[in-house]
Amino acid sequence: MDEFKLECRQDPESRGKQILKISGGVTIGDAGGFRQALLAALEAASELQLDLSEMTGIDLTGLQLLCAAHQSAVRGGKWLHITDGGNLTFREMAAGAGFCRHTGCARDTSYSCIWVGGEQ
Amino acid sequence: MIDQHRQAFKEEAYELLAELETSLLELEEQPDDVDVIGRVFRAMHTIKGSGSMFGFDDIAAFTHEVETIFDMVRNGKLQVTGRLVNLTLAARDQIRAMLDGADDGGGGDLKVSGEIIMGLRELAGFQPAAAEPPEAAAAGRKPANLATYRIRFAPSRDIFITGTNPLTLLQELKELGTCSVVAQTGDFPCLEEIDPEACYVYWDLIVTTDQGENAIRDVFIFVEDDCELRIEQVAEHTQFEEPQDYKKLGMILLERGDITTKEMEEILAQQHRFGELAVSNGILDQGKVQSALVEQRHVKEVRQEKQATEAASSIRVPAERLDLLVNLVGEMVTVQARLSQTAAQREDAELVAIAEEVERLTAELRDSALNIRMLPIGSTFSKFKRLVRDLSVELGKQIEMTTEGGETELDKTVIEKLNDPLVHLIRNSIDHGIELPEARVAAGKPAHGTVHLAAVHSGDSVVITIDDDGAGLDKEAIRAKAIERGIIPATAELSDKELFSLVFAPGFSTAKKISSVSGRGVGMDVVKRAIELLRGSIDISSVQGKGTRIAVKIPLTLAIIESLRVQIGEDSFMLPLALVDECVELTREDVERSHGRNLAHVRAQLIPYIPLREHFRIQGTPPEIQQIVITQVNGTRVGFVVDQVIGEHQTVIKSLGRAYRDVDGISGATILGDGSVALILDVPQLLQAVEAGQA
Repeated sequence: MDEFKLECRQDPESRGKQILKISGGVTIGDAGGFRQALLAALEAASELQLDLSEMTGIDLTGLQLLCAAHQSAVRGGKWLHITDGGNLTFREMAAGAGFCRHTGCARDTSYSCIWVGGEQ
Repeated sequence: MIDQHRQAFKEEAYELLAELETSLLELEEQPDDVDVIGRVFRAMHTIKGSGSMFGFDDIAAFTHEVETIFDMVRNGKLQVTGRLVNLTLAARDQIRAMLDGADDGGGGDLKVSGEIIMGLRELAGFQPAAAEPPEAAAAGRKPANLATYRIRFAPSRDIFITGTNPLTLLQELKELGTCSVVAQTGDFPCLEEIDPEACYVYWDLIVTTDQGENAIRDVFIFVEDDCELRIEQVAEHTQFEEPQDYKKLGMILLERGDITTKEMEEILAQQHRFGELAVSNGILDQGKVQSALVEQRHVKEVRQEKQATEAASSIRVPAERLDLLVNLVGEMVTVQARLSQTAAQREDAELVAIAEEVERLTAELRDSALNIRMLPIGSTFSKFKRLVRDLSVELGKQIEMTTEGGETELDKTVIEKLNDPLVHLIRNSIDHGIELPEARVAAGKPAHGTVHLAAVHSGDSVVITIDDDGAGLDKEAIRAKAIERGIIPATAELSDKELFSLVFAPGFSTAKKISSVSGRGVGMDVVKRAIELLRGSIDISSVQGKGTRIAVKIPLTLAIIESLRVQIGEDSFMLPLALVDECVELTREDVERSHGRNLAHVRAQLIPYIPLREHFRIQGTPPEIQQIVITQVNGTRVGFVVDQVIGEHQTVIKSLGRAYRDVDGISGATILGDGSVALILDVPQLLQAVEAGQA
């Protein structure tokens, strides 16, 4: 798996929107760092876009963190969404682990669940 | 060669169209059912695809338009409405007409095609684009003792630290068979509180496998102490599986312990979609509902796939070849009877042994040959659904047809010949039986009426009943009409049964006005005759204001019957054994004592009898002691006097040919072991003929 890399930048077109690009593979070893990065990015912005287009793998800890980050965003009245640029690896991982669904969980009050829709 | 393929396509298409009709009617009742929409789409797609392959370009082009619409429905871009179903049914009929006319260059009315397409396009709201091809069917797995299991797998919080990756376990599980996975994420804390290295997720898994529960347990063997694991078998996919719907959503959740009975009842009381309510009421997490829904879908899909695999393992044989086979088996049975007879006469032990062996094999051969021609009556039933739907619309009545016992099998030829009488009976139930909605409500009944069609095995017969909850037969009207027509004298005292049987009299119809649906007074007598030609019987019972039941009893097959062989002079006759009650002796003294009234005393009961020797004008004198074969026809016991009763006989029925078609009282002939011919008696008709002769 390629090396895990995080890259956070301000969206030039929209104020208050951060883009966090995650490349390489997310493993349990990276989970602590990933969580910190997510926390920081959410803190700094009202809208956070996670760019997973160059992600080459993600384990359960990573998937859990994505879900938790979405939950925190909803709770804080912020918007978190994912763009994967058609990244099949990510989609297959999420589907294989059974995360994809038709409607979000009870806490998804803004109907923005990151697992809804997708390739299913 | 090409013709052969075209013929095969046509046969397949006719089957698909029949299926399509059933699916469409189902869709009308459940417009949201994704499975049914998928079935409609696939049927259209197959007709289009193979149609263009074998040069039925007009059919392919027309079907393409309909398929495109259903592709939109499938993708949720178009709602299923009554109009859509109507148009698609019309399209189905049009494809059929095109198929029918395909060989003589006809091929359906272009104007009709145009109208249907215009209608569909109008519904879709724009000129539809080309349809996408459907997903390739999943690769077929060979189902042996298949069963579906429900697994809840909740690993301990520290499972990642111990170096176990639950995803590899899921992967292993997927290798066991078809597997659906739903992760439960409802217990995740938010980012601020989460321990990034702990495991919060747990899974509901549905697996269909032929490897048994232990194979599943083996997957989890190394983590068993580190997790909560629950495995339950929820369905077994046996050969005899009923294709009924899988468990309701609430039932699944209840079984899983995700919901209590009390909570379920509260939700059900609100009459809404169960899943939506459970979530909106906060009783359940969406993930739990999702996984129960996945279980429902999973089992349905497995069942469908299994049915498809089973269908693929059958072969298509023209019906004529089967008829030929049955005929040959018939000849074989005759020759075998001769062999047994000859062997018995020769007193050769070795020959007798061979004859017995041949007899056993012939019986097996006969049974399996007849079995091949057996078809479930369900396909005929589903045709009637369409009939009921169309007629009730035409008459402005609300009628629902329910069926039962569609899997009951009958000989193909019997089913074909049964179609017209049944259509007539159902039309009658709808036209005369079920009242208009206003009248029904006024009578305290639900506005929509029900016609229930059921088939059930009973010995060597099948009983088909048509029940309606309509007005019932009007006894007074029947009586008045029968007197007016001179069928009964004005003073006649009749039981209900006798009164109801009057409707089968020729030229009898009580409908006040003639409608296009039923009744020009040519109906019920023709129906009765058609049923009798199948060696069946028909019976009516009715309660005024409550409804009518018509029961039709039909033998399983027309090719071979068990019969009783009797002798008069030199001639042999056969009486269908199913009608025979008992045999008693008739001495010359008995005859003299009855003073020519043809009545016999049997256990203090008077039984009328028909001396067949006289009836058939057979020369010679009867023996001192004759036999009366007592039969039961439509509830009355009548005897037939013969010289001698020989015994039971496997009778292969041969038709008498055109010249003897109108001979009354004889339904066919058979060839005996010694090569001579015996006539098969048509008991109900004989009875009628004698009654008519006396009147």
